[in-house]
Amino acid sequence: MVSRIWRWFVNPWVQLAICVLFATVAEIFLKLGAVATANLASAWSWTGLAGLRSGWVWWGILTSLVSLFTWLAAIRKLPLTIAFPIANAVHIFVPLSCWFFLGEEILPRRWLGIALVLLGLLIVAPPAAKLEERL
Amino acid sequence: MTFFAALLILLTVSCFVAGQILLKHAMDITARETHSRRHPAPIFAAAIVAFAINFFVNIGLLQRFDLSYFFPFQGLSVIMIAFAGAWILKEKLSLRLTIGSIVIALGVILVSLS
Repeated sequence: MVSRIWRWFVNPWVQLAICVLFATVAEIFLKLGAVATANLASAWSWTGLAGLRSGWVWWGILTSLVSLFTWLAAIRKLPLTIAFPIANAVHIFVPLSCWFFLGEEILPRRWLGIALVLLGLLIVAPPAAKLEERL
Repeated sequence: MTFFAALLILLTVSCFVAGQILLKHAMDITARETHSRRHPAPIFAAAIVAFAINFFVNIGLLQRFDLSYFFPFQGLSVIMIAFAGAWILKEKLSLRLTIGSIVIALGVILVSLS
């Protein structure tokens, strides 16, 4: 049972899904931290180093690390030309999360863009499914 | 958006693409069964440097723009990675994958123009 769960967990597609989820969460945390520490008057603010004063940024770093390690596990087995387009599901989840959690607005054109990303993912899905058969 | 901000966005995207290609190259070395003379550690290190630049400039940009506005510019990397993967990593890039990547990138650009 444990080995079956472990085999499922280390599956590169599962790792890719976890990677996308944590990348989305990380961006939300980083935005919260960046806003909390913003000092636009400082010339050094472009470096973003002031963000390290915020706990949100550290949570963002932690979730980014989880996303990075799961990404490494995924691309160890999957070609980058397939894994990377699929990982772009973050471009659907991030704007939706910004809208839902941060109250940022999504204009009609942005909804159309989100739909196009989704269409692109559907186009990429068959080659990915063919690869799954070979794995 | 100022010219300087556009330049910084280009810098983050380029660093991101370079980091991904380096990471994949390093993971390919670790995945090989046969003993390789090449060690993946320096390639990992170079990837981490590229990602670190991407990360901090990213925070600087976040302090000025809405996340949902500027984040999609990273999506330009879809096309760059598709071609870099085929050219540098010698991965197979089918017509379907190319079209899929372009549609995703177009969607991302459309989101960024909103």
